[in-house]
Amino acid sequence: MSSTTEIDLIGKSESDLIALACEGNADAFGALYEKYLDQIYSYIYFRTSNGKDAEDICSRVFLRALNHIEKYEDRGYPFSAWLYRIAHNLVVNWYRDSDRSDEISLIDQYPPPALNGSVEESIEDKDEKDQLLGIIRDLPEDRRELVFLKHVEGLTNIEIGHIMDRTEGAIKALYHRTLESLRDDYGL
Amino acid sequence: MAKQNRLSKDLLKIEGQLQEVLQPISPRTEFVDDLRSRLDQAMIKKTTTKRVKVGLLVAGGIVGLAVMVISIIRSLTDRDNIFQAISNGFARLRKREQAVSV
Repeated sequence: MSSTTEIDLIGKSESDLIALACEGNADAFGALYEKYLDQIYSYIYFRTSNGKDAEDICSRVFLRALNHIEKYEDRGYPFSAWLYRIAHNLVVNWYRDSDRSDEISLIDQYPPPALNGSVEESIEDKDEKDQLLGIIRDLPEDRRELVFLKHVEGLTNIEIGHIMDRTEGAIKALYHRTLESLRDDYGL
Repeated sequence: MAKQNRLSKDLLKIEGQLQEVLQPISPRTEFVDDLRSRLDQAMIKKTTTKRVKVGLLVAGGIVGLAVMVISIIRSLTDRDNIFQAISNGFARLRKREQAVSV
């Protein structure tokens, strides 16, 4: 295994880190892990609504990525898109195996305070936010996933299309229908 | 046109609400550290396994080559003996024929 230190990795591009990780450099893979962990965890958390399951699936995402990193091909998308694909597939399996397609965990129905959330927000504001989060979780799975990828992860329509295996146009149309549904069906 | 603009404004407003509510979530620190440790261990195991596999492949190749070389040498040695046995056999046969004809 390469004995590159963390200092040597500073300034390395993502493709360099991936190449080093393919050679067995644990620190290089660790750098990728630290870069994308929050994003992947957020994505899984919002899809599972359960912290424990989110941690379990997140662990499997990165372990799978580590074991199959030699198979990663640079197709013009960032490395995170590959991680999202793995996460997406594992969450789909999770839904199938636990038969939770319409079920929301009661343990973690609402997420913990957001990173940038204000501690002093009013109760009314919090209720409104909780209500909106509940509405989002009621959405069909594909629309929910799209909303999370767009607003939590900040991905472009092209990147989202790659993850969800749809064209950019299909993603735009789906997003538009989702917003209309939130307006018409939920009265936002 | 006005209705279309109003619709767009409505959707933009909803988009803004979504942006405000959906913020990234950070995992627990203990989980982050624990998973990092597990990943490091997994990488060590993966690298070691790969080296062992390569080592076994090379060793297997060397043993196979040695067996092949030994087999070739033995077959060459045996071939000489076989030729000798065949020519001795023919010589004995000729002697018998000569003895019978006399």
